[in-house]
Amino acid sequence: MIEGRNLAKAFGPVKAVKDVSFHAANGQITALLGDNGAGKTTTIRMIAGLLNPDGGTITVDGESKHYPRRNLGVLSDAKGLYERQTARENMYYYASLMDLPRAQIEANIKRATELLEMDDIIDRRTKGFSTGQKMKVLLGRLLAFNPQNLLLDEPTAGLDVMATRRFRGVLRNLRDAGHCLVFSTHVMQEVEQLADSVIVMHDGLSLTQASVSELFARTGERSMEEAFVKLIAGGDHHRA
Amino acid sequence: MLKMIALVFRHEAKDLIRDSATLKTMAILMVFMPILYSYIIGDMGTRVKEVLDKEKRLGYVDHSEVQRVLPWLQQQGVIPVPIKALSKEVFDKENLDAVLLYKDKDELDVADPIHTQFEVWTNGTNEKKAAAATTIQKHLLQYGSVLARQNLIMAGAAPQLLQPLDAEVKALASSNKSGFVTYDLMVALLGMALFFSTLHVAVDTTAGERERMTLESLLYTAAPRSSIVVGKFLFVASVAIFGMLWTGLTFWVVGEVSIFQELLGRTGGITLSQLLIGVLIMSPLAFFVSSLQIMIGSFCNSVKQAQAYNSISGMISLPLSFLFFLDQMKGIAYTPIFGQGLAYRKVLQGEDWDHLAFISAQAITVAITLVLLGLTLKRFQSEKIILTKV
Repeated sequence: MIEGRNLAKAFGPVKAVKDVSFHAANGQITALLGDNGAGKTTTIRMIAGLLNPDGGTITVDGESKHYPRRNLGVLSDAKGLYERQTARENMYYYASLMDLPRAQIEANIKRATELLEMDDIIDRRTKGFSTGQKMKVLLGRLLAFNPQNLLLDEPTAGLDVMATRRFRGVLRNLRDAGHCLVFSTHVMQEVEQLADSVIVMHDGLSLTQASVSELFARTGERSMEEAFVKLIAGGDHHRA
Repeated sequence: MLKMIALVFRHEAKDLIRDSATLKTMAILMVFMPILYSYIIGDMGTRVKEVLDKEKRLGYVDHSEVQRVLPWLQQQGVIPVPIKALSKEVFDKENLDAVLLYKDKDELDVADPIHTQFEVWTNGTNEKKAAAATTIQKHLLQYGSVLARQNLIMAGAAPQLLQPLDAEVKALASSNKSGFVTYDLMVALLGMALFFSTLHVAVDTTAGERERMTLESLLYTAAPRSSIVVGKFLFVASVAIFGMLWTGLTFWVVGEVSIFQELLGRTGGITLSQLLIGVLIMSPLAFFVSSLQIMIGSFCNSVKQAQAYNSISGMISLPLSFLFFLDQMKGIAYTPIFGQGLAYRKVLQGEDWDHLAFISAQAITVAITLVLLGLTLKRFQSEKIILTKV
C-alpha cells in the first residue's frame, strides 16, 4: 500500500510537481495517468526515495521513511541492463542487493522465469535483447525479490501488441496475488484495460482519483481519452 | 555493509572480465609500455656506443701541421679525407663527421711561436657528428700531451714525474646493471600504470553506469550508497594494483630474458622482490588514483567528459618521470606521489631513504583519498547523481 499527500517538487524555477495526493491499495492496479510533463516520473522517483519531496508525505505500508527497501520494487524510466551479464545474473544481482537469502532469491527467480515465460533467455547475456525481452528481465529483476509494492514507470513503452498483452497479464496476476501496483502511463487504452484506480495528473497536480467507470460517470464520456481531456480542461479552468 | 561491498565488487569484476575489448586494450598497453621504454633505453645506449666506437671521417685541408697529427688520429680510428676547403656541401658530399683546419697565426700570436692551434669544425646540425668532433678534439689534446711528454723526456725529465696521477672509472653495481635510467624508468612506469590502467574502469563504474541507465536501479536497492561507492572504489583500486604488477612484471621479464635483452638492448637491473616492494610502496597511490577517477566519473555529465578529465588527471603521474631532477628539492619527499616515487627510487638504488618523509607522504595520500571518497559519496547521496543531463 502506498500513499502520497500533497507532494511537491521543484527543480530550480521549474515546479515539476505542485500538489499530488493519491492512495494505492494492495490487490489493486493504480494508474498515474497524465500527459508529458504532468509530473508522473518525478512523483514515482519521490515515492521510490530517489528524490526528496519539497513538501508532503509518502508512506509505504504505513511507514513514512524507514520502510524496508525490499518492500518496494521500482521499474523506472531508466531501463538499462548489464549487457555483459545474463538475464539470471541481472536478476540475482539486484535481488541480492535487497539482502535476501540466496535460496529465496533462486526460488523467486525460478518462479519469475515461469511467470514471464523467459526460459529461453534466462541464461543468455542481455546484449542484443529485444525491447520485449529486456522488459521481461526488468520485471523479472523485481520479482526476484518479490516486493509487496511495485512502481512501474511507463512499463509498456516500446512493446509490441503481443508483448503488451502478455505484460498486462503478468500485472493482473501480481494484482490477484495481493500486490500493490502503481504504474504511470499516457496510453488511455492501457488504463481502461488494466487500472482499478486512476489518478489523473496534469501540470504537476493530481486532479482526481477514481475508478475508470467513476471517471466515465463523472465526465459523461464513454472513452478514457475524452474523459481525460474533459478532466484536464476542468483543471485548467479551475486554476484560471 | 561488508556483504553489499563484496557484492558490488564481485559484480564489477565479473563485468570487467567479460569486457574483452577493454581487457585486450589494457593488456596491450601494459605489455607494450615497458617494452617500448626498454627499447628506448637500449636504443639510447646503442647510439652512445655507436658514436664512441664508430670510425670517424675527418676532412682536412692539407698543411704541414695537419700532416703531423694525421698518423696519430689514424691510430685512434679516424679516417682522414682530404678536402679543398671547408663548406657545408663538403660535409654532405664526403659524409664527414668533422673537418680539421690548421689555424694560421696572426700578429697577436707572435709572442707564442711554439703553440700550434687547430680548429675542429662540425656542421652544427647533427648531435652524433658534434659528439664525434668532440672525440677528435680529445684525441688531438691527448696527442699534444704525449708530444709534450716526449719533449720533456728528451730534455732529461724523469718519465714518472710527467704522469704523477692516474684515474679509473669504477661502479658499485655489477657491470650488467642498467643503472639509474632503469630505476627511474621503473618508478615512472609503475606511476603511469596506476593512472592509465584504471582510466576506463573508473569511468565505466560511474558515468558509464549512468549513461547505460543502470545506476538509477542500483540506487533503489537496499544497499547503502556508501557500500556502492566503496565497492566500486575497491574494485578500481584492485585494478590499479594489478595494472602496476602487470606492467612491472613485463618490465622485469624484459630485463631477465636474454632474447629481449638482445632485441631491445636491455640489461637486467630489477629483481622480483624489488618489484613487489615497489608495488607495496606505491599501493596507497592506487587508492588515491581510484578515488580521484571515481569522483571525476561521478561528477561528469557523460562518459566522454569523464574520460577527458581523467586523461588530464593522468598528468599527475608525470612527476614520477622526472625524479632525477627533483631529487634534491627540499621537502618534496614529504608530498604524495613524489614521496613514494623517491622512496622507491632509493630502494632500487640500495640507498637509505627518509622514513619520516615517506610516512608523511603516505599519510597525506590516505587523507586526500578519504576526502575524495567523501566527495564521491556526497555526490551519490545527492539527487544530482541521476538528474545530471547526459
